[in-house]
Amino acid sequence: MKKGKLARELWQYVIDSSALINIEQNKGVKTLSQRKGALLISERIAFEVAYHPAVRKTDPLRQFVAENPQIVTPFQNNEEDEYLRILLQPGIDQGEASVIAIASKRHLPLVIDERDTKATGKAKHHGVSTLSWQKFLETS
Amino acid sequence: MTNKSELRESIIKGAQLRKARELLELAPEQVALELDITRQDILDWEEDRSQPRLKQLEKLAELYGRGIDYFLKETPPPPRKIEFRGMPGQSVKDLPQQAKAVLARFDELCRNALEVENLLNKKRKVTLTRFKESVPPKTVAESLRKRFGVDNKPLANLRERLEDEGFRIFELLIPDDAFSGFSFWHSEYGPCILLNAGDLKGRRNFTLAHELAHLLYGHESTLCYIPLKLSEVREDIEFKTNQFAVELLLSETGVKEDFRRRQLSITPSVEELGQMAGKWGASIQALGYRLENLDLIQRGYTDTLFETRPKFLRRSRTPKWKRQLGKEFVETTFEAYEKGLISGGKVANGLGITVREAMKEIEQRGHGQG
Repeated sequence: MKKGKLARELWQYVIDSSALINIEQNKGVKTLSQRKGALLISERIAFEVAYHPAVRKTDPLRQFVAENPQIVTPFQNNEEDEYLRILLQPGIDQGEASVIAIASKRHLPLVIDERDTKATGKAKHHGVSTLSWQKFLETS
Repeated sequence: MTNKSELRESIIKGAQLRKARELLELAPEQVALELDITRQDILDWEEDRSQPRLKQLEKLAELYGRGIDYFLKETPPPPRKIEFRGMPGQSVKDLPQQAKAVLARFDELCRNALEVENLLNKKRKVTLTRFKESVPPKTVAESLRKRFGVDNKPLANLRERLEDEGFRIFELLIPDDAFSGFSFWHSEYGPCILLNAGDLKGRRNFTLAHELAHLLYGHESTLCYIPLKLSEVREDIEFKTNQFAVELLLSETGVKEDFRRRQLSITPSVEELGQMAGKWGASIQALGYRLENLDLIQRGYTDTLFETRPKFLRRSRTPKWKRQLGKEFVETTFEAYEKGLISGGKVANGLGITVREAMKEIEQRGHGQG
């Protein structure tokens, strides 16, 4: 494996639902597959994009998550508490709270749809560095 | 399970866990069985003596039909002392679990709506006054028809009119049609009405008028099952609220004129009644009974149409989420998103749709198609 490739796979990004959906819609699920070594999603995000009862069985993200279960990370250590504390604030939902908690505690960057100003602002408030899904793709 | 001493602070509110359970009239034993724990564990959580783990909390959220955040902060109390009307001898306890969960979903919708309005600094004003029980339904209905300026014409868009008056109205699918409508006047949410989204439009409108009567007469939280044959209604209160609904939706003078103009017989066909009911925004049953009471059609004729469940009552497709939630709630939710007050996921969660659907809607609105 080339050195550059290895470095990219060691550096991980937490990613939320809207960023995943944007990448899949604009660049195709193949692009996600190429970066799967760099991606981490919470169990809640996996539910939202893949296992929610209203998500179609043929949904490309559903298949992507099912084929790549290693990208789904459960909460570790005190991330659960952090998740609940973030969730306590108005206007934030479970998916966003979960990825902000993971990114915050593990000091990882968060890939987000930056038009979602509430989630972006909340992440920054928790000291999480965010980047748009377009920027994330440029890092490859 | 985590002992309280192990926690830095109590994040999960035991009182919220109890409120959620009690609304559904679930015994601690039932919940314990679902989660494969003991009854004492449930009581300890509710008394803040210990806290559930996140996985257990998620199971509770699913069972109680709540978002996780419901258990983290004090929320307005859910409706209390729910009277189940129209099913003599039955109480909310007797409802199937899935039907009870709809009540929780309805309460969650009202809570979400209030939360979003607070973020937007929007205040609802309810100006409709309540009436004493002694005021006849006809008088109350006439005062409303006058207020809406409809004289003897059909009262179109009742739902929108009431939403403009500060009512919160949602339509949700009620499993097994276990009930037709539910209403309560909440100290913080204001007047709230839930309709069975699976009912046909005329029947939903009739239920809406029926529930409106409960609210205007100041009845406590009321869960109603309105039978297909209105002649089967035995309770005085239900009879009265049905009378109000008929008077509100079906103006005596207007209906008489319309009936004569249509030159219908004393035994009109279901199609003829259906067309006329559609114009008046009422159910076929309600129109039939109105016409019987006005001696325009044969007495008892309407019941004969409902001896068996007629074809026209069968629902055709799943109702659209926008219809179920109402324009006002949907618009307010997207307004809050556009102003950066709520996240995209919160939009999806509030509207009960997937994040993908929410993003599609946000995208369309961005292009002016919303």
